[in-house]
Amino acid sequence: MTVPNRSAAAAADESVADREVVITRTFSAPRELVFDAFTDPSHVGQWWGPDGFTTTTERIDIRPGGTWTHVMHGPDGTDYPNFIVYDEVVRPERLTWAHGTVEGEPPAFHSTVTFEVDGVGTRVTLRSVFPTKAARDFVVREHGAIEGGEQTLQRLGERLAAVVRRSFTDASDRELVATRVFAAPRELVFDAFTRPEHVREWYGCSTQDMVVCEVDLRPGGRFRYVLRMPEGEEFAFGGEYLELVRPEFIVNTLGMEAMPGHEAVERSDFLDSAGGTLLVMRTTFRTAADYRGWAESGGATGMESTLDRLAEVVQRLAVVSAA
Amino acid sequence: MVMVSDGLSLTFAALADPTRRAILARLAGGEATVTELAAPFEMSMPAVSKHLKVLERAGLVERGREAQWRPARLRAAPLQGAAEWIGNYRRFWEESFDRLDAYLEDLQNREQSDDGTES
Repeated sequence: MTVPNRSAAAAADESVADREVVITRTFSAPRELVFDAFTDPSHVGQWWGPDGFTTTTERIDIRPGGTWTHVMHGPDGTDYPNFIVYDEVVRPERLTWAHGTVEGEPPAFHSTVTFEVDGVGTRVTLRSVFPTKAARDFVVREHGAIEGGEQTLQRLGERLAAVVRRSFTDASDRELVATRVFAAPRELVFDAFTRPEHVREWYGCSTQDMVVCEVDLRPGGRFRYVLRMPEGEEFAFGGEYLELVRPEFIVNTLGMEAMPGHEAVERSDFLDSAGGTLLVMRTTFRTAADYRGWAESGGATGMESTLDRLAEVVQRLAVVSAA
Repeated sequence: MVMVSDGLSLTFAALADPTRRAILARLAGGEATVTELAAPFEMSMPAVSKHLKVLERAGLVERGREAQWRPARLRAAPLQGAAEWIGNYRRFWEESFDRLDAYLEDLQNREQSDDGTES
């Protein structure tokens, strides 16, 4: 396991209870996206800190042993230097760090963030452990650590709400998570996803014509789509519905007829969201090579699958035509 | 039958063989004669010709008529078609979602104007 100190930490829980601050919040966003909001430098500076605070990053390197040197600017103009040393960075489950003010001084507290799947969303627990009860009480009293923490996660929520409007995240080396907010009720979005007369209108790129769209929408039923490419070639693919509940979710397989044995599993969840529907679509490929084959037209070498070989040939072509 | 008329299936079938991929990779560097293509493979010229025929049927290779030795040339279009389709799963969905977005707006506008004429 990647968390060797866990049992020790659990044993110490009781003695820690009076010197820690714990804040929890649930977000309507996939776990990987929430985790990335903590670890992607382009995200974290945008929401970090209580209301009215801004953050200036001097150096950031989020990996075990890496550091984040940043200054938090309070609403009254006070600057607070921060020096964080990351300990565990386990995407998308867990993040721990030692939190101090400047390099070389002992940390003021240790923080652990856990990310748990909660329905289609994510429950975040932010736990900060101080060296003594007195230190904890001081920070809570003088710096409003609890309210500040709540506000910080509130700001994270606002950031995530903006991000999920349209996002694509590599959840693992063989998993892609897409999120999108549509300004329509979820029954309508669900139907647009599943009824042939609707699917024909949007599925695929604008240069591709859908010439076959067959849907047998029930668990065990199949769908079959054929797209015609601009050069006239036809591309047939489809899959089986494994599970579905209108208008909540669909789980189906997806594969290309020309490439049997490379089916992916798609899970699409339709969630009520302010003024519309949040779609969370998670595609799990059988192997990392399958995902790379689907996801990129170049870069993969030495893999055994035909798709990877195709990618290689295409990459060579691109080099030749660029030369 | 779909699989027969489906050009991309032919493309994938042609690409399934490592020798044919190597031939394509060689041709990506410029046209070559059968003799030149056979050289690195320790393979008879008829065997190479057979592979070339499969590639030709898939439209991946064309043979020159201008000279007796008929050099083989790569035709990139089918490869691009295949690459385009599988090439960027992300871009495929991004564009589809954009289209769905616009389509849903249309649908709702239509529903609203239907409601308006009824009431």
